[in-house]
Order: sequence, then structure tokens, then C-alpha cells
Amino acid sequence: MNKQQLRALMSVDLRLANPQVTDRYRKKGKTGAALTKKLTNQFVYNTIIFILIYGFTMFMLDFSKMPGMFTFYVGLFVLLGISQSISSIYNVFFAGKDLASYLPLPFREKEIFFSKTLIVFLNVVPFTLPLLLLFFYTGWRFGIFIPLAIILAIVVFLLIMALVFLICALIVFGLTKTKLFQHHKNAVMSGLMAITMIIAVAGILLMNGSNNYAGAGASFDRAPITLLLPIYQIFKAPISLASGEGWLGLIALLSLFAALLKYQVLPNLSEQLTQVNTTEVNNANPHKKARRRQTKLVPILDAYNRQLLKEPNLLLQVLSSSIMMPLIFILTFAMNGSAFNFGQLPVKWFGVFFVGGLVFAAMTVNQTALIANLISLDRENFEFVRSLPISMKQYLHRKFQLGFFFQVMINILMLLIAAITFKMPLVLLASLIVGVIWGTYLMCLHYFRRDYRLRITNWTNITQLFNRGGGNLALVATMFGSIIIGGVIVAAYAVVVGTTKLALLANVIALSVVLIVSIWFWLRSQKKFWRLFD
Amino acid sequence: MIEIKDLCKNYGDKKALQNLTLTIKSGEIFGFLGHNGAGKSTTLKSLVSIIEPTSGTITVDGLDLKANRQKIKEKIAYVPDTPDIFLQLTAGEYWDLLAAAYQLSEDDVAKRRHDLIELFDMGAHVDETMASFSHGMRQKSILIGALLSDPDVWILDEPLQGLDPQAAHDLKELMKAHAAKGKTVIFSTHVLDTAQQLCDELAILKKGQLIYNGSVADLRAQHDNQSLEDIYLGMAGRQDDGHLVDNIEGDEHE
Ligand SMILES: Nc1ncnc2c1ncn2[C@@H]1O[C@H](COP(=O)(O)OP(=O)(O)OP(=O)(O)O)[C@@H](O)[C@H]1O
Ligand SMILES: [Mg+2]
Repeated sequence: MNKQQLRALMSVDLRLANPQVTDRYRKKGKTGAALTKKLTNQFVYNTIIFILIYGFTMFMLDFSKMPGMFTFYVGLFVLLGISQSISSIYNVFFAGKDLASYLPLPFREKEIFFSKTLIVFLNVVPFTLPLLLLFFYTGWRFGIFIPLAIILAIVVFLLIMALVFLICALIVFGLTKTKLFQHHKNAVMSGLMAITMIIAVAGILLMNGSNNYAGAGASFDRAPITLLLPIYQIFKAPISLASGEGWLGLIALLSLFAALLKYQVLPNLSEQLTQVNTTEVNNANPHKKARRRQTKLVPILDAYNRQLLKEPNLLLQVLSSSIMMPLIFILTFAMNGSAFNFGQLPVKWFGVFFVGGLVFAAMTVNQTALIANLISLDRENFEFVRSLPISMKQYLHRKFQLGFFFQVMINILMLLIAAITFKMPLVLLASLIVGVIWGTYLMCLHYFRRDYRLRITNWTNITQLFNRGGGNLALVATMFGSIIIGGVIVAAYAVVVGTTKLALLANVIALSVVLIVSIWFWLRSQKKFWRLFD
Repeated sequence: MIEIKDLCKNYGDKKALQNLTLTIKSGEIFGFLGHNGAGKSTTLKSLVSIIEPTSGTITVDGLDLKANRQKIKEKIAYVPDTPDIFLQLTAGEYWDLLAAAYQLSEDDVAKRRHDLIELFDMGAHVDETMASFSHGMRQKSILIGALLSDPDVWILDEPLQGLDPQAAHDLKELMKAHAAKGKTVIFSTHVLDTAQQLCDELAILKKGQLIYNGSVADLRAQHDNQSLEDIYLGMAGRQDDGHLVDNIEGDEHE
């Protein structure tokens, strides 16, 4: 392998692996070697931050007395590692679509794949490195001679990282071999990333939830995850019969996965990946019945717009901000024992729930929502459609309806889950849902227009779209802003309704304010946006 | 010298290329002509290892392509028919990547790179991403990248498409000068004038088959010195008397 070539490939892969960070630095005018350096430094920062945070918390714990805690952390970092690797693999191997472009160039296949794998590895290590610390602490607390503890920690850490990698490589590259993947690349990739993320978050929540402290010993420990206990044994007594299970298990799994990878996945992998990277070769499926020709515009537009949704990174984002975040909220409240029980609330609370619905909508619809990117998702097609004799208003309207429908359905679903969890009376639930529908509608109007205003049609990675306007900082600010302000409003309103006799007055005032503001908002978006296309 | 022997490429049942046999000598400009879908790009992509032919052999300077890919790739630079590659990179980063691919040292490449940037007037765009470029600017970036290594064989698929008249003129001059140094230039085009101006030798493809191979002068001599357009349409074109166009654009009262 040639050093110069490797270095060049790795700097390309670095950009592919971190589209968002790359974009941010590009805006600041960084390119070439300077950008590569910044991106590399990013790893270092991530590593340091993670190590500092977890290194410190874990230092306080005596793991030699806390097998539960130990397995919890192992589980946490393994899950983090898996979800991070899968999304990195996607970004580096698939989203960049660069594999086919290397074919005419004098790079060796080995170098191309080695550099990509290395970058994926670099992308994951910062999130898993605290494991190394955990292992070292544990060995040390068990009284193992420090240099030996270090070596032991490194060995086990490497074994586990290798395991994480093999699992992810098996899943992703194994999938690329299937017919399903070859025909529905984006859909399968989205599904995979979504599932991994759900498993990671659900797993962490579950582990957090099983807070039934084991034993009445001096130290508080959580219930251990049985599956991971053999690893604990390794540190308890590295060379013993008891730790044999851990060692053997790790090595057996590793060899099994490595063999699978070597014999089932690796053969022809590079050709397949290159194929996947280029446009489909045999698009025509002669067995499929020729579809009746459609000349009605709306169904064609709908079918087209639905195609746009298959962008993996977008779905991931939608999943995290519109589904995972609310679910986490609901679950944390529900699991903390002190779960709200709304079963007894009287009808006068309907205003609070209505406003609650509005606030919920404001929290979940933001610049990463589907509706806020739907126009830019068109890419160059959007400008092309403008040249066609299609009513732009109709075109946009249809898009808007689709995006709104999608968002409102998700939001209603989330609230139904909350309603069941917190035993809401039907009237209040209805009010909540009306609130969320109205709120989602207004937020969609706002973000749809924003997308139009700030549209980018030549993006190369969808995360560029999420960064428009104020970028990440603004995103976080609006998110927390809406949570805090919304929370304060709902809380204040609830206090007035719950503790004073002014419930009726408060409801009337609140609803009037909402009505006036919404009408103003609606009129404004009609005038500033929709009328432009008449 | 490049020798193509019995080259075939099938896509499923479709025969994109059938038993193509050709010799391309060093120091000449070799042009491919043919209708859309005739197999020009398929041939060029086989030469640069993008496509694995179904059968047949390609040798470059006596080396078999299949057995010596790495070595041969180092001699060849390719300009694809659509310049939409590596859009995430800036033009400058793209050139860095290519310089590394061909293992050019910084000193070797600096002057050449500078001259090329100046020639194609890309100086103001070095630090912009290719995604933000117009078609012609992307094309220029790729041309610059291809020439950095001063390749022995330069392969271009419809290279003049979308270039401004200045750049098109400069590119043609570059192609001539490159061949004059004893190197090989292979390209495809739909512009017959360009073919006539540039080509030492010509191949005309029709539905995956070679229907002519030789010099432009010979071709015209064989056809009583008709214009190249008339000859080309006579050989590769459709046998109709223009009634199809009349059907579409003709007088409706006819
Ligand atoms: N990836 C592919 N999958 C299936 N068929 C293909 C593919 N690429 C090319 N073909 C077919 O191979 C034949 C030759 O295509 P090729 O691209 O070589 O034509 P061309 O001469 O370059 O045409 P153009 O002038 O339009 O560029 C065509 O019939 C085309 O449909
Ligand atoms: Mg072509």
C-alpha cells in the first residue's frame, strides 16, 4: 500500500464520514489540508470529552463491588458503538457514492477499502474508549498489578471493539448481498439505521429502568446484565476457571463472526459495493406488468414525493426528533414511578391540554423535520418542475399536504401513547389532539416556507439541509427554547386553572390569544408565501 | 499501442458491444462516432476498467489489461461523460486526490497544475465544492485533474460537451499537442466537424458493431468526397426520406 495514496483516500473519507462538520468548516473557508486537520482534531476533541466525562464518573465507582454497574456500562458503550458504526459505515461506504469513481484511477482496491474501514473505526473509537478506562479501573480495583491491568484492559477492549465491528460489518455488508437491498437500497439502509437507533435507545432506557438495586450490600448496585457478566469475571480473576467462560466466549464469537465475514460476505464484496454505488444496471423488470399509464398529475406527484422520503439520514433524523425524543420523555415520566395520572382531571383543563398540544407540536417540528426539507429534497428537479406548465401552487400544495399529513400522524400517535400511559380522559385527549393538529399545521406552514426561502438544490449530503439558517446552535437553541418557554406557559396555565377559581376566565383568555395569534400567523403565511404562486 | 480484440459486452440480453476489434496507435488521436447507445461509452469504460467486458481482450503496450490493471491505470487518465463525481470535494481537493492517485510529488505537479488552472480559468474556484459548479466548470475541473499526470493515454468521453468556445478551442489544442508528444488520445464525440478536425483515425459504431475503421481522408475518398455528415448519416443513420420529421413538424393540412 502506498502512503501518499492512503493519505489522500483517508482525507476524502474523513469528509464523507462527517458531512455536517465538514460543511460547517467549509462555511468558515477551510479546505484542503487545513480542513483535514480540523476534522482529525474533531476526533481528538470527542475522545477527550468522552473520556473526561465518563472517566471521572467511573473513577468514583468501585467496580470490584458493582458487577451490575460494570455490565451496565459495557452494555451502554457497546450499543453506542454499534449504532455509531452502522451510521458511519453508511456515510463512508454508501452515501458518498465514490466507489465507482475510483475505478479508472490507479488506486488499489485494498487501499480504498482499508482507508474507509480505518475512518469508520476512527469515528467509533471516541465513543467506546471509556470502555478501556472502565476495564482498567475494574482490574485495578480488583487489585491487579497496574501494568498488567493496563495490558488486560487493552486486550479485552480490542477484543470487544473487534466484535462490535464484525457484527456491524456482517449486518451491513451481509445486507448488501441480498436482492432486497439491491432493489431498495435506500429503504433498507433507512430501516437498518432506524432499527439500530431504536435498539440502542431502547436498550439504554431498559438498562436504566431496571433500577431494582440488587442486594442489600454496602454499595448500591444495579441488577447485572447476565449476558455480560462473563466479561466481569475476566477482571475479577483473569486466569481462572471462572473467567474461562468470558475468554472462551469472546474468542469463540470473534472467530465465528470472522469466519462468516471471510467466507460469506467478503467474496465479491467490492464489486457489489461498486455496483450499489453506480446506478442500477438492470432497471427494467420484464416480469412486472406494465403499469397503466397515468396522466393524472396528483397521483404521479404523490408517488414521486414518496420516493423522496427514502433518504436514510433524513428518516433517521425524523425518527430521532419526532419519535424517539417524545418517547423518551413519556417513558422517563412513566418509569419514574411518580407517573402522572390524569384520570381524575375535570373538563375545565381542556384549555391547558389544547395549549399542551400546541407546545408539543412546536417541540417536534423543527428544521430537521420532513416538512422543513421537502422542497430541497427535490434537488435539481425542483428547478426543472418550475419550468413545466404545472401550477407551482398545486405542486407545492400537494407537497405540503403530504409533509403535514406525515408529521401530524406521527404526532398524534405519540400523544395517543402518552394518553394511554397517563390515563387521560377522553375530552382532554380530544382537546390535546386538536391542539397538536392545529399546532403542527402552523409549524408546518412556517418550516415549509423556510425551506423554500433557504432551499439548496445541489446538496451532497442531507445533513447540509439541517444546518441551514443558524446551523446546529440555532437548532439546539430553538429546541430548548420551545421546550422551556412551552413548559413555562403550560405550567403557568395549569397553576391558574388548578389552584384558582379563574379557570373559565383563563381558558377564555388563552383561547382568544391562541386564536388571534394563529389567524395572524395564517394570514401572514398566505400573503408571504402561498399568494406568490397565484 | 492499444489492441482491442473481440470485445463483447452484454447487459442481460442486450448486446451493447459485439466483437469489437481495433488497434489504436501511439501518437494518434482516435475518435469514436456513433448514434446514442451505439456503444462508444461502453468501449471507453472497458478501456479504463470501469466495465468488465463479457469477453474479449484489451492489451496496452503489449500488457494484458486484466492481468496488469494497476500498472495500466497509472498510464491512463479518463474524463467521464458526466462530470458529476466527487461533488463533496472542492476542486483543489479533487486535484490533490488525483495527484496522490498517480503518486505525483508536490514539486512535479505544482507548475503543471498552476498552468492548467490558468488555462481553464479556474483560479477563482479552487476552494469551492464541485457541487456548486456549473456543468462546464465541473468538466474543466476534471480535465485539469486528468492532465495533472501527463498521461500516456488520455481517454475522453464527449469532452467538448458544455464547454465554452474558448475552453473547447483550448481543449482541442491540448489534445493535438498531447498526441504530437507521441501520446495517445482517444475520445468520442457527436460533433462531426470536431472529428474531422482532430482525428487521425476514426471508428464508427452502430448498435454495438464496428462499421468503419480508418482515417477520415480514406473515408471521404471512398465516398466521392461527400461531406462527413452525409457519409456518416448514410452509414450509421436511419433510412428514411425525412418523413418522420414531417410527421411531427409538417403542415397539418397536408
Ligand atoms: N448500466 C447499463 N445497464 C444496462 N444497459 C446499459 C448500461 N450502460 C449502457 N447500456 C446499454 O448499452 C448500449 C450502449 O451504451 P453506450 O453508453 O455505450 O452508448 P454510447 O454510444 O455512449 O451512447 P451516447 O452517445 O448516448 O453516449 C446502450 O444500448 C445502452 O442502453
Ligand atoms: Mg456515451
